[in-house]
Amino acid sequence: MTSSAPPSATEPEAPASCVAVWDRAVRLVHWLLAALIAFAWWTAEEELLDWHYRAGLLILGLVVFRLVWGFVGSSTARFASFVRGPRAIAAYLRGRSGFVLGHNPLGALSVLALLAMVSLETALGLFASDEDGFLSGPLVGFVSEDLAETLTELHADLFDYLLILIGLHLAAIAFYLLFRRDNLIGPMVSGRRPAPPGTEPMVAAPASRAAVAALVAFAVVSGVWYAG
Amino acid sequence: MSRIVLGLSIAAIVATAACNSGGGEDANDSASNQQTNATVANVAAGQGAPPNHKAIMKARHDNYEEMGDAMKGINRELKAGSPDVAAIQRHAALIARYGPQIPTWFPQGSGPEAGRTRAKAEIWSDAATFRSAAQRMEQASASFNAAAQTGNVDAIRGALPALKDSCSNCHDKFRAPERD
Repeated sequence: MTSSAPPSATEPEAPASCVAVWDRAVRLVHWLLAALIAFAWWTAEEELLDWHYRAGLLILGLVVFRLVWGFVGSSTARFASFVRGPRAIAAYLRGRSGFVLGHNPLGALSVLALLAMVSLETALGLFASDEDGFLSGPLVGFVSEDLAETLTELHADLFDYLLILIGLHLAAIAFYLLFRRDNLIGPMVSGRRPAPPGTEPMVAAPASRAAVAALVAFAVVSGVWYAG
Repeated sequence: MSRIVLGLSIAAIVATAACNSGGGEDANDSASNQQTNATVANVAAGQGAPPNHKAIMKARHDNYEEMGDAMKGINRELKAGSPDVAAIQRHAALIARYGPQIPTWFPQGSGPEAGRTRAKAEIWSDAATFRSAAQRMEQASASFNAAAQTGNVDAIRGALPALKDSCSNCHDKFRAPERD
């Protein structure tokens, strides 16, 4: 960094060394979700509903895994580590907080919003049906026909809001890359990012906990699939 | 400067998503009901289709919706632990009753030129293919109805794919997508 202005506390300053920030589980879930959401969108547009159904079940598993991981996973994955109140967000915006490894208070809102919207969209899909009655979600038998129609419409309509959130997410990444000179994409691939010396490192979680989270996800998906 | 760019980016993305969500049109609009009473003067002035076309377009829309609901009902029963065979038989009978009628729902002039419809112009420009697709569906609905009358759930499950395929066979070629 060769800027003449004094480096702000939220930008990594030279000399910065690379530290681990995102564990493998977080990275895998992120990229698999991105790919599967795009695939689910495409299969819905092309009316390839068998594949849409499978993608939805996989997304459900990933979301459940991530929710569990948010409680038992690595330090930067845990909700408790990055979910902050309005005062912390304001302080971060004013540049008054120190360097944050992982999601900063503002980014945390984006993570929560995206996770919530994807969870909701997936849950609605479990009750949805296509217009010709050929294929329906696994839990459609548990609701009345009228409710299933409403939930199907919601499943279709809510996707536009998910698109807006994804757009904001991408805009924020671009903003950080172009105007803060902070590359957030690389760390989500490699798991490492530059950080000022003295930054508290990420604390990884043992693989056994990942197995537990995966088991919970598998149980939920199996239960849903079996019910259908 | 950076804030302006960020704001513009967000605005652009929001605008794109808003444009994409402009669909979901419902063909049961009151305009078609009003035009059922259209006078000869309207037709002479070239506004829309003759009154009976509007009526048949609404009727076929409603009938297709009923068939869709019947399919959903059949699916629902077959997913249940103990399927309600009587309900399946009712649904099957409805589909089999409408099957033979389908060719009569598409008089000349009741296509896209008549107003908002998902019926594609190919129905008339490729009438031979449409006719054979309709015949195939009529036969499939009769076979499925026969299977339903036996009351044997396995036979019903076995006969369903042929019926679904006969519906898709026509829809894939002759029905426009819901959102365009």
